[in-house]
Amino acid sequence: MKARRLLARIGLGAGMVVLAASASATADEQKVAKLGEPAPNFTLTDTTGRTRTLSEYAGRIVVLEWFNTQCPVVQKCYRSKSIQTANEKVRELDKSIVWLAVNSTSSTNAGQNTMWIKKFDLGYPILLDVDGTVGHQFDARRTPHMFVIDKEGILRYHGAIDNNAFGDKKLDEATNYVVNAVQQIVEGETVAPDYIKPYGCSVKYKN
Amino acid sequence: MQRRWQLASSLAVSAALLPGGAAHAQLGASAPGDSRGDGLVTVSLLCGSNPIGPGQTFHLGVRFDIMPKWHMYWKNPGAGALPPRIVVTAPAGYTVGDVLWPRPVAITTPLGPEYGYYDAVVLFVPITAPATLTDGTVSLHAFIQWTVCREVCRMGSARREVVTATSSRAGATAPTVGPGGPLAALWKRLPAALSGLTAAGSSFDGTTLSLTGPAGGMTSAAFFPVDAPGITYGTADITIRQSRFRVTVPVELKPANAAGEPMALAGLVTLGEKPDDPCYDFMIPLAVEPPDPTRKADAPRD
Repeated sequence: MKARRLLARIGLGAGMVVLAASASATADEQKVAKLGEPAPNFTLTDTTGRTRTLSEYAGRIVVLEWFNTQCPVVQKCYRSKSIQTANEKVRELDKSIVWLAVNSTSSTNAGQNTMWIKKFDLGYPILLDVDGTVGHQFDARRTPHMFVIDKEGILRYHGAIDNNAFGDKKLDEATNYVVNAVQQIVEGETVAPDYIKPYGCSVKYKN
Repeated sequence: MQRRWQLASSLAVSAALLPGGAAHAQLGASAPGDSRGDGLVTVSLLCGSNPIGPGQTFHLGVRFDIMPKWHMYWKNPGAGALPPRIVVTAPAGYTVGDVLWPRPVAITTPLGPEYGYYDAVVLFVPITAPATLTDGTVSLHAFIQWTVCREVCRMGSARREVVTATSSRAGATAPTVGPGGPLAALWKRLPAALSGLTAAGSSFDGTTLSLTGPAGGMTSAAFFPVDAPGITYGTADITIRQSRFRVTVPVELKPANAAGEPMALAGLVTLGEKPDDPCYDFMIPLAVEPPDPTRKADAPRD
């Protein structure tokens, strides 16, 4: 009920954003993501200027990681390597998996994110969503906030990356919900849990 | 000298905090907040008794002094960041209980309400001493982590220690943190149990949580849910009529998202607007069927 209320509110916000700022968004791209339904398509540019569209990864599992270089929780996750380790583990489960970080921080820029990629030697791109359109489409509320989309384009999990908000557990003792979801998708199982409240900083949207 | 300075500093903190400046509380180390918190929070550790008697339950008070306009979080941050975390280390034989959280305030944000604290807050940690003690001292340690936010969030952490006397004789001490002690004004901000309130009640019919009780002359009330995996609270409907409050909240359960943990509805009803106005907590354990791990995923959709 709360989720529906929040989605309704964010949906209204997203609609306003689309009208104001995203002339290129199609009807499909204006939808709000819901568990068990096709994830809304989007088109964003990464830090190198390359255009990335969700639909180009059809037939592959896609992990979206909402992200902010300025968020101390994100910084903690990267310092502890919880996100990088999850990335490695899901690639072991499915070599074709796609991992995209999305930065919806209104004040971010390509240079800031490029430095992050170099600092942590990331093997995946960071997409820039400065106007927040895609963040609102997915109702991304925190950084980190994770989304797992299956090969059919269905959203199967969203929420926390793990149960280690305070970093007090060793990586191999924590439950990583993204790895869990990807493993269940690969094995044809129901994804459970399919939602765990994400922890971290609120997404610093433009509006 | 070091200990004496720390004590004097802590006493000053306490005196500023209390009505009438009761400065005789037994206090522990006090120092500026951890540098990663950019000095936005100052943490003090206060010990609840001096001396501690055998088998006595006393409280540590962890006080956070927060830079103006910044805030920290209640145990459910709502749409906010992380609540503070306190890990107390005590010698063998001492039992450390769960943190007690004072009444929070709701903070409106574009992404929904956050629940937390401005200015200053004391979180209490109950500790029970072993049944047998010798005359001497005990050292209690706390590792404290926090997130403090304004437009941005900062994290901090600190380690604090408090040394207090122990006594082999029971009943030789008066509380300094907790009910009846000089920090009673802060203790009063902790919720009382709704179940202990006359003519109050809580129930859950599978879809709706209902809470009722006397309003005690208050004309406003609020509901603060405690987050739990697998439980989603809807918008609370709150009324006060004929000096009674009634809170009804739609609840959606999804046991598969509970990650194997026992499920329980829990939260807080606050009356009035002031920090010292009454507030009541409740918990309703739920008996729910665990998810079937052998169930396969639905067929892919066209």
